[in-house]
Amino acid sequence: MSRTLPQGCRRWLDAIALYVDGDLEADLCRALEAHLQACPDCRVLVDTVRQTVYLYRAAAREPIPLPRDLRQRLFARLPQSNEERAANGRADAPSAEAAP
Amino acid sequence: MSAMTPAASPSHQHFVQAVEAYAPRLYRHLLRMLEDPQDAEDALQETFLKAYRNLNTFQGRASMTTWLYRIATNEALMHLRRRRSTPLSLEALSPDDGHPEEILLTQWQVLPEQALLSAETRQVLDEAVAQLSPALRAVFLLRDVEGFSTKETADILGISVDAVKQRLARARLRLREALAHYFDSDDQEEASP
Repeated sequence: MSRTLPQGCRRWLDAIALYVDGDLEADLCRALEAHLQACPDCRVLVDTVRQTVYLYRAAAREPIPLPRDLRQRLFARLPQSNEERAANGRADAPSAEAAP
Repeated sequence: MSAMTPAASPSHQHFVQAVEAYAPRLYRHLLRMLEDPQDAEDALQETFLKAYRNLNTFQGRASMTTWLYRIATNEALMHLRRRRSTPLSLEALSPDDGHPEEILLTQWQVLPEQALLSAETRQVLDEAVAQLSPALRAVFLLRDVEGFSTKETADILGISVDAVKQRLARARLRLREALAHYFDSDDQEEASP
């Protein structure tokens, strides 16, 4: 049956979660490392939080295909430049100089 | 679409280049925030429209990257707000944003990276993120997935560095707990490809 973290170690939770990539103040880091020396349970937690972050970072490197024709749909909704408006027969559109 | 105020040509050209450069990564960020391709595309369009309308307010105070991510993340949070019946606030954490009630202590089965990134595992990762509150999800995605620093994440979300750290810690612990049940060595056979 799986074990759970002892109540006495829960005060270290936030520190452990930030420790894995060094985003922890020096004093707190030293105190946590002293605790980790004596606490195998919290060492398991450090290891598995580190794996969690690693997994998400590894997954983020996998390409996500963009929807077909996303760029075309995007540009179709975006405003045109003055030159494009003129080329499309909309030369009566407000000029850039009129913009605030 | 409402009438737009045209920008001067140099700004417009610069903006078109920004759309080309940033559309893919912003779309992926929005898809992770919203978990729905159509919502992500809608939010992306709104992001660039708002960016275009406010080009004159972008004076290089922030980098173009953090500026666009700020607009995009706010757009995603507005989409999430519309989906919910209860108000959504980034200012305070909800009771659900605390530590997991139990922290499962098991060594995870060590798998090769390719196995870890199987379709099944990816689904587990995505579902775990989807369970995070928007406040935790936004911080985690910006910091750990998009790779922004703690300070940049705070700037994008308009919250303090300490708030980013607290939310990042809570998010990582909640995700770890979700994955612990999947990678628990008691369930090795189930987790193996």
